[in-house]
Amino acid sequence: MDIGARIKSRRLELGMSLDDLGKRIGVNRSTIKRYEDGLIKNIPQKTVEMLAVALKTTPSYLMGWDSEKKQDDLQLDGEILLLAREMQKLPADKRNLLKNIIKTMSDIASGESEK
Amino acid sequence: MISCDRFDFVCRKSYEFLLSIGASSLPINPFEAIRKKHWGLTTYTELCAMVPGNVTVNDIAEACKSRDGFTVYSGGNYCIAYNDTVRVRNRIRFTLMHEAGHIICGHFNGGITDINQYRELESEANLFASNVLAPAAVIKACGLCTPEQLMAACGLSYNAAKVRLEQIMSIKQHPLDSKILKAFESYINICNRRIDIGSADICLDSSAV
Repeated sequence: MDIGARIKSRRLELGMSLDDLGKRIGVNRSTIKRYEDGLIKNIPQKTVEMLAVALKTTPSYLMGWDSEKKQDDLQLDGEILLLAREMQKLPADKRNLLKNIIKTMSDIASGESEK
Repeated sequence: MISCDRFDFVCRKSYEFLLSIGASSLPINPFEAIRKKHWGLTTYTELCAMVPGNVTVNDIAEACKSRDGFTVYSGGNYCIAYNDTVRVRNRIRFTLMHEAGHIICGHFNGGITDINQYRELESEANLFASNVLAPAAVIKACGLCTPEQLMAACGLSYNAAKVRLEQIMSIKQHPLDSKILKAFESYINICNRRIDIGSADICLDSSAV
């Protein structure tokens, strides 16, 4: 599967239209269609990062370097969502720390909701 | 910049939030509000102890890119973390209601794709926090009109109180005002009585001079 097919497959999995995805990354539907159909070969790195955030996956997955589809099992808040795009740039120790923080807080959240 | 529609939306959400937690007096207790909503709450210091490794508060702030606080949403549940080493307690109160704003205003639905959208959501969360901690209808009904009065009544910092007062002047009547005023009725009556007594004191002082 090439990057276009991965974008399309992930978009459909999330039930998003071409318009939805286009709006999320600030391009029109025809541009998304051309990404998916492979008519635009060299998608800029910044756009791949934005697509990954919008499709809740990683740039590595879209590029075909990683078979792990989901960015994380967790959805994150505004600050973290913005950060998620930059996560690949965090040093490995900080990335691991962030994952541990999210896991810990996720446990607290589910414990609190059961009270 | 928040659009008019979103401004009204956030004001409505903040009033609905106040009603849902049964608020009837100021200052609002953010810890109690979070407990009533069954959201998780933790501090940066607690996180340091809970996550593996020798982690400092600075490490947490750097990894999460926030000196004040952030929220994690997982499986339909929320957990807010705040930096308890911040010395200004009123800043913590504002941070907690700012995070509540992200939750209540539905900022978890869909990803953030650019910095402008991020800034908009941050402005909305700030507006939400201001309107919860210093509800416009209540402030007007109590006749609170100086930053000092707002600081004392709402637990805001001086600057936040000053900004909030200017903001309140431009806020129009809201359909939920009457419900909020009803919920805060006793508090407003007490507050107005105190202000009357305060004015009388000032009059007495003046006559003495």
